[in-house]
Amino acid sequence: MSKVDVSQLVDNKTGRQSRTIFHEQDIYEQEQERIFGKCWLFLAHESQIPDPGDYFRTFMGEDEVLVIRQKDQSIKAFLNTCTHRGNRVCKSDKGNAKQFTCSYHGWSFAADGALQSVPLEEDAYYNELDKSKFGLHPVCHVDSYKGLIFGNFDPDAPSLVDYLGDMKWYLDVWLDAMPEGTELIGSTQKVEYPVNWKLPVENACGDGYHIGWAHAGVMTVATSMNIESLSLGNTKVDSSTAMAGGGMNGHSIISSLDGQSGYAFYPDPSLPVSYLEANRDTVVSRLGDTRGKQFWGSQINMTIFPNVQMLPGLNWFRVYHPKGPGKMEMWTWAMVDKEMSDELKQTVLDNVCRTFGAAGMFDNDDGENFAACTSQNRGLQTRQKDVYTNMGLGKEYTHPEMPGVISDGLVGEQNQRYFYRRWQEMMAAKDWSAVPNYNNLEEANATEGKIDE
Amino acid sequence: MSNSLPFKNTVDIETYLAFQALLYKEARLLDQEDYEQWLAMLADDIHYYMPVPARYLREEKKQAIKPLDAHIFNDYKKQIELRIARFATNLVWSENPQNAINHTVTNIEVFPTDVDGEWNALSVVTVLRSRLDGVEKRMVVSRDDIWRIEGDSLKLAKRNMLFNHTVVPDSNLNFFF
Repeated sequence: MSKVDVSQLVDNKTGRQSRTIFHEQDIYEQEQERIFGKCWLFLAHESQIPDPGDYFRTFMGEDEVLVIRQKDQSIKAFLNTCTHRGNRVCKSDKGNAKQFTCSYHGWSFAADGALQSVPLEEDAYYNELDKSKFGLHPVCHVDSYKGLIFGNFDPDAPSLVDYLGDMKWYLDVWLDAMPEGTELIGSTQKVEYPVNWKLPVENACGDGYHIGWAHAGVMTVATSMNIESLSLGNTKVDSSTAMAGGGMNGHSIISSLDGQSGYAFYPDPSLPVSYLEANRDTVVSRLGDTRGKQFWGSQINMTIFPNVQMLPGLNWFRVYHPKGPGKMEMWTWAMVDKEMSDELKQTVLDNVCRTFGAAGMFDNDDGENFAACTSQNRGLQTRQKDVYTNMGLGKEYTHPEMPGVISDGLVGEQNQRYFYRRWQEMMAAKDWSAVPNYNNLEEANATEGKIDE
Repeated sequence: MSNSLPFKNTVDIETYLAFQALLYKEARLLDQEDYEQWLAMLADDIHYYMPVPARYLREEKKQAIKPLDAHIFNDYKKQIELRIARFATNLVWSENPQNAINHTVTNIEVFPTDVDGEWNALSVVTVLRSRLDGVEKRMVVSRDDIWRIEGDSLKLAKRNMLFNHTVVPDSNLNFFF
């Protein structure tokens, strides 16, 4: 298959994207190979599969996979497809199983993927089937970072810790703030959208701009705290109020820096705020003053390239599964600190569902916008036009303590530009050796446009 | 041959027809977005609950709904009023132009309960939502209600719902079931 030349589809210097990237089938196929086939993709949280035999059924790109806890507590993942004729071997969303039996001919696979038994093995296969060659197809790499399990199909991929790079400094504000770490609670909230998968990712990775307008209705009735950095333009804030950090190999963060506004959209934030203050010293001792006092508790959006988003405070954790260029499935959970009381966990879960669940009052504002940003590009004339994320071009700088490329404020488009830059780099690279590595402004500038095809 | 059927309705025909009319009226108010009148049909202690559905193997019952599980609705009157206040701002862009919606109520069964003046009504509601440009969404929900006599009217005190779809098929649920 000839590859799509992506060199003109994204221009980081002007913040331009071609609309074809939201529509064309061949671009989508290339994303499956070069992004979802090469990047580390979120599989499950360790808390979802605590015991041997526990499994969770999910997707890596369009590939359906089973994530299974092993007897030795390690985790393996396999394509959810029988090696005989290709049927699914597991249909349940999650559960605990000693084996997975295909419903077509009854081939049965162990939790470690080995083909265990085949009906009529002697009578029909003359005992000549080499079962050792027909185990489930494993996902090449599976690794965890502080509770989050990721998989990677590419044998030559960098390690997970290298892949996460300097973003780990920010991820730890949630994953490593409290000694016991985090857990996902509740069953998976799944919504299907007629939306290209990149649009919700770019939105949550940096778009503080839309909040006051797209969510005006709910902001009017449901805000219990003032988030100054959302109501003011970037010329009115500095890095002591709110920041955007991007350019970390596609990963990014936007954050208020007041240490409590994560709970601004709780009708009554007193319970979570008292939890923050009761544990503030612990977190400061683990993460230091900047992360413990300014980040922990703030309104934060974190994005792990290509399709994971986590909002501590609002406490949702989300992954976007592509289902074709014009369709995606959004999976949402509540993520909480294990140390939280059951009462607080229930409060957090309720708030996640009421704000960003299937009937969530914030989430219900976004889908229609993303859907039309996708569907309008069906028009041949329309999709020959470009779209832009050019707000605050050239305002990026290096911060003495915060990793990444930094801009002031929550209202900006820096992170969206770096998201599309990474998209372009991954789409152009035939393997990982051609993918540039950058974690700050100097490295990002030095590697700009250096795409080795 | 006797003319009496070997099946008895659970309530008398007057009561049954009254509930049928009540549920039809409620459906019409929701279709018309007449939330003021709909709110007046709700008891002050209403619990309006719809858990997130999932698919487990039949033998995996322990995976079924448990405490701390996710929900589509887990609303008391305060939360319902907040949703309605959001619609009333006229700043919910996805509802302008207005989407046409029809709640079709079927499979109505009414049972007396152990509590005087309270009835249990089961029903199925099929929602057909016609959005912009020919986009239509259909959703099916089974409802298990408690209705209570308060003063001279019947009020909805509890509604437990089961949403049929493991993947929600519309990009928003800016309405009630």
